[in-house]
Amino acid sequence: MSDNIIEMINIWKIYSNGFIANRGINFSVKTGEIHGLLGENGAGKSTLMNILFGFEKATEGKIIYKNSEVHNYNADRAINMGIGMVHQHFMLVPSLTVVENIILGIEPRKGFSTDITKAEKFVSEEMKKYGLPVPLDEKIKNITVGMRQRVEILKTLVRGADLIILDEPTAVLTPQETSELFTALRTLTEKGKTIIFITHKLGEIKEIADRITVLRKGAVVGNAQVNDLTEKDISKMMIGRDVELKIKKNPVKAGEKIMEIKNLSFTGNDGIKKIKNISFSIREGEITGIAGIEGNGQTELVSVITGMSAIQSGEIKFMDKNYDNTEKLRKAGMSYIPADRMEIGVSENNSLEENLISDRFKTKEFSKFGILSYKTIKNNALDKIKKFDIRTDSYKSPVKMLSGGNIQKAVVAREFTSGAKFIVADQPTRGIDIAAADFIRRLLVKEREKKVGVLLVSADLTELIEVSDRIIVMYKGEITAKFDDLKKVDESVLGEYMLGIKRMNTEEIGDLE
Amino acid sequence: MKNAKKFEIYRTVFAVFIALLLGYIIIFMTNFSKENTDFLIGLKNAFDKTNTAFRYFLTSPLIIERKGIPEFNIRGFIQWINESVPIIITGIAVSVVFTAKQFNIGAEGQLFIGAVAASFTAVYFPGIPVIHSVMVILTAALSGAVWASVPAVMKSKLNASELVTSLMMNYVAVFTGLFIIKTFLRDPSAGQLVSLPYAETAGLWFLNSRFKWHIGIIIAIFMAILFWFIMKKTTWGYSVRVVGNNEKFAGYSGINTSKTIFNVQVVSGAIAGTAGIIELMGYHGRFLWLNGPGYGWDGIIIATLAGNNPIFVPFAGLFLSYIRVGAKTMGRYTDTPPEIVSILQAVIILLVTAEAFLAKIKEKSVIKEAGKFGKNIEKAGESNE
Repeated sequence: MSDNIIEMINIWKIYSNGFIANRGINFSVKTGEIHGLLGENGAGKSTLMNILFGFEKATEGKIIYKNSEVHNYNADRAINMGIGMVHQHFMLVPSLTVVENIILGIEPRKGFSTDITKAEKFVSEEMKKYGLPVPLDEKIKNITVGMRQRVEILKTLVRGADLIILDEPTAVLTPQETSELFTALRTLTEKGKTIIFITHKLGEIKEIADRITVLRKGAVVGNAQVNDLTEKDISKMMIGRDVELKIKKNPVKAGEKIMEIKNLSFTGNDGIKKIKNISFSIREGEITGIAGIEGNGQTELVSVITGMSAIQSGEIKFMDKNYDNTEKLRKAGMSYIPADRMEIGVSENNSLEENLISDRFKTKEFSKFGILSYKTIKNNALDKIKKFDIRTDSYKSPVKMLSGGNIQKAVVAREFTSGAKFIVADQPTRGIDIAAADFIRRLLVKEREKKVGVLLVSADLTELIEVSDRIIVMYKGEITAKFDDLKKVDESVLGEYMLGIKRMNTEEIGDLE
Repeated sequence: MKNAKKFEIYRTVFAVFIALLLGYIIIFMTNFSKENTDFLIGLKNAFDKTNTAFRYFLTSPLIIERKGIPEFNIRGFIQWINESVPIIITGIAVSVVFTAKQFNIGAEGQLFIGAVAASFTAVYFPGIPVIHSVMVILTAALSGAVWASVPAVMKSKLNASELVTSLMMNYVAVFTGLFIIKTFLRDPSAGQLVSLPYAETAGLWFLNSRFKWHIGIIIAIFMAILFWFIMKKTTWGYSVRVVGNNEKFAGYSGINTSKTIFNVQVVSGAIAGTAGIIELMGYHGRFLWLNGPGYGWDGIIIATLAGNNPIFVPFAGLFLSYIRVGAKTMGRYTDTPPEIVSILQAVIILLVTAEAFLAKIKEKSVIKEAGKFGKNIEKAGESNE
């Protein structure tokens, strides 16, 4: 008898497009510990956990749970055996109440209807036992992200989970919510539960995990007690070499206004006002960062600024002129790294070389009299592959064959080489590995030194503070704070404004020009 | 990558094979159990009959037996080639518009209206050789384009589904066209509703005048190559492909998507517009349809078989035309109904479009290859560290 609750032995996963996500992984977790699973994006963490939770089938390998091997594995069996998973994107029904969501599928019955009193009693007992208070009668759509996550954890507990997998649980949380989560997790382990904590944030691992397993390129590269390691050791394990984490920024004087936004308002398709009368400017040689919890109007702001959505009310001037669509804005010198690279940033069925010219195929360099010159297109692709370190079999491969990080590099390679005067970068480093993210941040800073104006929207607050020259906080479609001196700002300060706990008045915000 | 393309070809060939096998079984069943004879003799008779029918079906466009001696069937061969021309052209038209993921199925109406309009040019335009023929084809292309622009405008201005509007426009085209022919161009000396005969200068050259083998096939293959070039090698084709693959991305990149969508439908309409008139001027010499000839629908089948790649369209068109001519001959010489060919068509299309068909085999080969590749990388990695 080993004290391991789960053992995964020699797990291989090869996808039908030929991508190898797991290469012979051995992974085990001791009962009652918080086990950190680390790795850059594309390292195979999510795949491994999906296999553990029965979502995906391993191509090869076996799984041993509580000392007996499992066969014919699927998500149903995983839940019955006592494995629970909290996904990065919550699986909750927004229009149902908390208690209804928790008991969905396992409702206690009274005749033909649900016995809601019994359900509430049962759920509130569990809630008290594990110290996870939630408002049972509130609808999901009305509670905060941190609360929703708690509901997800309760959902697994109510189903009798002994092993809970948390997939990047802190990605959507503010620093305050994160520390609450950590307290809750410690309570859980005290009660005998085991937790697998997936992340790529080093600081959190040091704080919460007992032991870690590090994956790189689909294989295990390390397995250790956290106390024996420093953050630097862990990052070295993840990336395979030392990374200089600080970015050097030369002082640059902000120049002319490049984009001016005046009294902008925007109502979404659902009739909800997403942007409420916002005005600010972006200047040459300055990186303006936008902070905010997802869904507070940043997405819509980017969409309107880049011409992807029409201006409903207010005015946007790009270098003193009005433009009404993306085509014209691009011609005038805008570049745009979209948050959703698969939906918007690339055409996955077109080849890499074709994706790299989508904004410039009509220029003299790439076509003559309407006929594409594939020789220059190929050379352009080879050049970008080399300069931006895009890993691919061939410049002719369809983009869907590339990994997420490499697709982002392809997007960046195109957008940073268009000779733009203004770059909109929406979550430019989300979901990509540390080295590539670092590379992209450095590029942004470099562009700024070339007098390019940058608008950076990011959920990664460390990145925002490090890269930006000033930060604007958006809360419920309004600007609620502005920071010009970022030496005095840290994540928790930003967090308070993002959550709406604090807000600056108009005088404190002052000049947004 | 290359394997994936090869796989598509194998899959198509295999689908054709299965369809033929199924055809054989069905013909066998229709030939069996009609007579109340001994079971074994019945079985043998059925096999004999089926084999004969199938031989006609598969070989008659090329080889025919005369007095027991097989010889080259020139008439069948020319019929095969001539019949493939209009469906190759509609196949190209449909491939082009499907590449942009615009499900415009109006080729039938476009070719009908194109033929009607071009009939005027063919009858009344001054009889200058060559120029007259070219003018007839251009009239057809232009009217096909105009006809196609109706659903295209409705799509880009009103966001009306081009699937529905283009389908409806087909019926409008047929009845409007027949009305126009009946009112303005009817030949009063003919016993049925046909147009006045076309001027002699409005014909196509013959490669073989006895069986009226016209140069339509050369025009069709030229168009296939031309549109393959346009789709793969020009900025216009690039825009169309990008819009078809990911419209949001196209808009984000600064491609004018609604203009591209409009243009591609009009160009497709121009191609389809010429499909009918080429047959009429090359073979019949007058307008004689009382109904849509169905080439527009065939175009959809052919485009699907060819994977919307114009360069493969002639092959698909020749194939479809071959089995149809074979089936007709089979119907003439045996008592097997030629409609059997519709069943074969249906089965082939079903298998070619069913993504999951043989997908397991593909997946296995990919995994095997990737596995090898991955393990090699691992070894290389070990030696590095």
